[in-house]
Amino acid sequence: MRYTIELGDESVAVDVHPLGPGRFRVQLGDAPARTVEAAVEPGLVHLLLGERSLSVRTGAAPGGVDLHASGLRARAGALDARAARLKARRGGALGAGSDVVRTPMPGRVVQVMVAEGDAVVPGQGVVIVEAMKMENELRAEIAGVVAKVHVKADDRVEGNAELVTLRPAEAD
Amino acid sequence: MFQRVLVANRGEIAVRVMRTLRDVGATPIAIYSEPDRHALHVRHADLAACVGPEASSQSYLNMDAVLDAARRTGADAIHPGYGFLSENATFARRVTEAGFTWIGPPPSAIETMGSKLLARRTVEAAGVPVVPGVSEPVRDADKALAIARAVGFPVMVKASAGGGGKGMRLVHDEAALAKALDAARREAAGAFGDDAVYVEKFVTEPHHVEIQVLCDTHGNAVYVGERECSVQRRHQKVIEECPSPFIDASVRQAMGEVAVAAARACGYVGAGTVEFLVGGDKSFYFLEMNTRLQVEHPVTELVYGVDLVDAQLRIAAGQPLPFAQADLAPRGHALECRIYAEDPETYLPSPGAVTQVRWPEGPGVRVDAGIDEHSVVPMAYDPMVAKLCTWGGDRDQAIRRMRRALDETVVLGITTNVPLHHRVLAHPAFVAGRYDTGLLNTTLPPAAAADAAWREAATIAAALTRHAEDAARAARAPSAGAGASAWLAQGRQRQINGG
Repeated sequence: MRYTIELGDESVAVDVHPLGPGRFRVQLGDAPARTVEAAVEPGLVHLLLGERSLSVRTGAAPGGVDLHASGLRARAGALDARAARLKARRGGALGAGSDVVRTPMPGRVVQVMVAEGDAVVPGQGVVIVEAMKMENELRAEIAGVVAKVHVKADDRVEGNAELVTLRPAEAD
Repeated sequence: MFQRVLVANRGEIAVRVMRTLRDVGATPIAIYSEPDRHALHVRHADLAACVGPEASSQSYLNMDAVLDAARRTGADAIHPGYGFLSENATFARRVTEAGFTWIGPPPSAIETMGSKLLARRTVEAAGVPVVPGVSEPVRDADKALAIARAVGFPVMVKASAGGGGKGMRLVHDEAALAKALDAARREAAGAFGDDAVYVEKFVTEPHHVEIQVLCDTHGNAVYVGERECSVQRRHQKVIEECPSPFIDASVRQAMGEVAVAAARACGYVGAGTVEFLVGGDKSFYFLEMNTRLQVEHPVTELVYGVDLVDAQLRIAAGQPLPFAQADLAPRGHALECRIYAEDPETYLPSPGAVTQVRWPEGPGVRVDAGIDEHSVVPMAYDPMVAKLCTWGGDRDQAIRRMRRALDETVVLGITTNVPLHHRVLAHPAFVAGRYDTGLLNTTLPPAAAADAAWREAATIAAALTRHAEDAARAARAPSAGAGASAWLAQGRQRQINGG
């Protein structure tokens, strides 16, 4: 089976062929295929790569796997061949700042600090959302004008909800 | 001693209190809000009662519901933990009036120390040094400005009823005062139901050092050393240690004696903490007294070899303190890292379902956790999910053990601040023990980065995990023609096997 594994901004095709209980032939991209001894359980992968022993804790994550090993943590995207083809067809590179200010966590809107038509600069606070008893000021990533305010004070918002849409400022 | 004790709290502190209840042979009783029905603290209890919906104001802060839960479960005492109703004098009074033992200080002591302004006046009269400021609540910007001008900027705006950094703002100049006042009052109203704030001078190069005190009903009072709590972000403590690397034995003794005087001044009984602001010149000022168990109490327990919850229970049961001042000597060094469900870079909260948890083990490690791999971290409550403590023969060993413990800590599903702790523990000022409350405003060493070997192993692990999931899914799929699920087939197999 071939999977596309995305770690940070790198993406590599990985071929996995089971050889027997706890033994796999694994090929990463164009590198030579190698034999890996591994215990693969829900929540744990223990790898023996030659003389190296590495315990990787795993957890299900949307579209991939959460990984923790040697005190470091990462989220890997894991796509099968079909999903990888679909994604490649979509393309979909996102620009540096977003024109939509979103809340990364669920919470309650305490205050909207801008109105439609206001000019904002990058880093300017636009909405305060309270979650876990703390007030968090969510900021514009780009310069522009407020096109739409989607929330009002006391609204409950879900994680990733749109708060404010900006019309990007014209480049000089 | 008590037979059944209701713990009027949730999360790690409820679990921690229940553990000592088991140690003394008492039955732990949990309360829970609806979404907390199967939370870890409920699973640690033998009896449990629902106190209402998710909102704290309708559940964990609902006095009628908590007292009703105590009646229904046959409790003979109530331990409030910290936060929630722990510093609510009305609740303490109602607990006693309803015939339960209150495992905490007398309501009058809570009232005195709960009003920071009254607390200042009370301890000042007992000869305890206080920070320059004005002992009255402020609600309008003009008055705040007049006070700030009188004591000089920078000033601190604080909630009168506050704690834990909520409703607190540092203000450097006149321009920022009005906005800070508004925000502090709003947070204070939301968190404590009282928007009174006050303004005081901000001491420069400040250390936050607190003294643990214990007072029994027989007139005995001791101090159990100090805790250095200067690693703070927005006045929220992040790492604490005992002993403080900043103060020496003579300052410790002076602060300890003053702390006991402050406790006696309000007629204190039980475990309490007297917080001090210590300037760069080691002059110290009374900040406030927390009339409850403190989050960071485990570092004291590790260094002084005491169980503070056990002491609370004995005191509440009318027994004398099991030790005298001369019995209390520090041994070694302890650190505590607070594990928050929050992003270590943006500090934004990260509630949600936990998919995997593994806590560190081994020499010198203590974990007080409020979650496990079956938990959901609700957005309605405090983001602290666990406390990691290490003990070492000296500070250096405690730090090394903490680095190891942090490496062993696995929490997946939610984001935690573990990487932030690694960066603080690598900071030369922290390692040298020469830091003040400004530490987290300085540039921290970068987080450790994954090398090529780690990335290769992680990539392989991700692919093998995905492969195993696909294989399991294929095995579960109904076999063609048979029309029966793998689950049914498995059930049939069990019957055949006689299982």
